[in-house]
Amino acid sequence: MSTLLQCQEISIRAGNRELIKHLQWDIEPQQCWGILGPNACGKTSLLHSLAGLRELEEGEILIQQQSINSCSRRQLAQLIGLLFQHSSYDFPTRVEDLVMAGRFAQQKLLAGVTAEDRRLVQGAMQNYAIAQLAERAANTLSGGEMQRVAMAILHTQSPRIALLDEPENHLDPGIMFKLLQLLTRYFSIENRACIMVLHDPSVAVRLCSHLLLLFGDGRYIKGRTMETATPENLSELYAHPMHAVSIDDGLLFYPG
Amino acid sequence: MKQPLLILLVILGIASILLLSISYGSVSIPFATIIDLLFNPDETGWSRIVWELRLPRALFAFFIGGLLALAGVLMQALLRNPLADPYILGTSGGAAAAMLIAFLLAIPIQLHPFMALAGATFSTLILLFFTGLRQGLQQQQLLLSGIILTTGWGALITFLLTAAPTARIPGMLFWLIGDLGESASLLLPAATLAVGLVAALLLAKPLDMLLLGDLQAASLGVSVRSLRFVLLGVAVTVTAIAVTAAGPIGFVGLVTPHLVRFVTGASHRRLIPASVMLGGTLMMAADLLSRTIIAPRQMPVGVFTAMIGVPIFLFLMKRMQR
Repeated sequence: MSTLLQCQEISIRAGNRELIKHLQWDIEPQQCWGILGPNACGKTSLLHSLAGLRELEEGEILIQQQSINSCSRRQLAQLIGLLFQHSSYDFPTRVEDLVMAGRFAQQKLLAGVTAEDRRLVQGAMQNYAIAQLAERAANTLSGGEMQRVAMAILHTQSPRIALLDEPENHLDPGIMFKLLQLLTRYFSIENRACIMVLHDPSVAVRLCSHLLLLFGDGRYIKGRTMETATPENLSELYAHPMHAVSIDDGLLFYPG
Repeated sequence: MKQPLLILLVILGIASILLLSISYGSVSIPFATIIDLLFNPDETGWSRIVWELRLPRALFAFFIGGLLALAGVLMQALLRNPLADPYILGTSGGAAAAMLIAFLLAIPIQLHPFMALAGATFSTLILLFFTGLRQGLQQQQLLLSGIILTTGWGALITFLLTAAPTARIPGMLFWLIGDLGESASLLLPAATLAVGLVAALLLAKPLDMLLLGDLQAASLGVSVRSLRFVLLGVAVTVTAIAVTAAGPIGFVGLVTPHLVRFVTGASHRRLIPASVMLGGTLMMAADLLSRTIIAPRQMPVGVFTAMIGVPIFLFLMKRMQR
């Protein structure tokens, strides 16, 4: 299987601050990447650039060997999807109809909803435990419920590459891990991959096969999780001493 | 409620308001006579009142109401704000000011729609330049900017009225408040409504997607930039034609989609046609009341829609501050 996504010498700036400089980064099928870094280091800008929603200051992004700038929005939506940091919705659309939005890139403009569409939507709603919300008006949902609806939309969209921007937002610890595992498992099989921005290195270590550490001044470190997530790297990343303790199935990081 | 039953009720509602509009006025015509005359026109005075005065006027009111409701639906999706409407956001005001300039400069009447279109476009571009291009804009900020813009157009309009020859002021004033009395041509509003309705219906699915926000819609496959361009074009044109024909009538575009959403939900496939129907019907009703309530004198219909619309707007805004 060939490389899914390639970043060729990309740079991201905010004003005159160089956040990411000449990033060379390949994402292979079945990889699950975690992006860690201090606040305002360009994590969200990077995700938006990968989704073609933001112009790059320098470099090029290839998706399946094709430049994302030459793809239509529709083609791009079939290949890459994004879970946004915050989802809000002010109109009384039924939740089930809202989840159907994930099918937009697969449907013809004037065609109705097919049985296949309905099956996928219902499956996704079951997965993210929102089947009981199907008839609710979307503008009455809580933050956590809306986050699960957004996950179900992404699942229904079913792109090759899923970009998740702080997917743990609004979710309580009881369900957060289960939902993230569900998403990452779905997007790290077959010819798919997953890239997520996370705040907590302990969560990243449990979920991700690879990590990209962004220092916010142009520098970055990337590699397999176990080689990258060292207390030394993380201490430097957050400019604060970080300690690690071993637990059953991984490492727990905490600030000193 | 079952859908066929609902549709039947809507048709009955529209038909009865149409019948009432034709029946009441300076002379009252019995319902049975109207129905008879509609199918068998003759040369009597009543027949001429029905065919030449009241039916065209009722249809005119229906088309204007439909245009305003359509503009409201489109603006609400475009700006992702359930309180948006061409009147609140200053689009109608821009068109009205341009129309007054056209009156004063004695620009030929055939060019008036283009003047209104230019004014409406200009006003919308100002609004978008100052608010619409930023992400995470507060709803209240957008509304406030629109209201400020409307105030600005109001000042310009007052200035133009002050500068106008005295004899022309009453006519201009009446037109400004929204007036269906001078119904010139049915063709332009009817054709615009038909084209606008078809265009909006073809775009119903991407319109639904826009409610998710520009970035989310784009990431799900919508070409947001070109869609917004087309929709804005339709919304502004529809508004401009309504203003050209009947003056800046407020609140129909705002309130109608809201009332419809209670029944149909937010899905544009149902919201668009239902809003056009209800907007048209409400306007017929408002026109009927405005020309009978202080008969034999007539009140500009805009006074009526504002008296009903203002309390509803305040109520909706309060409800939105959950």
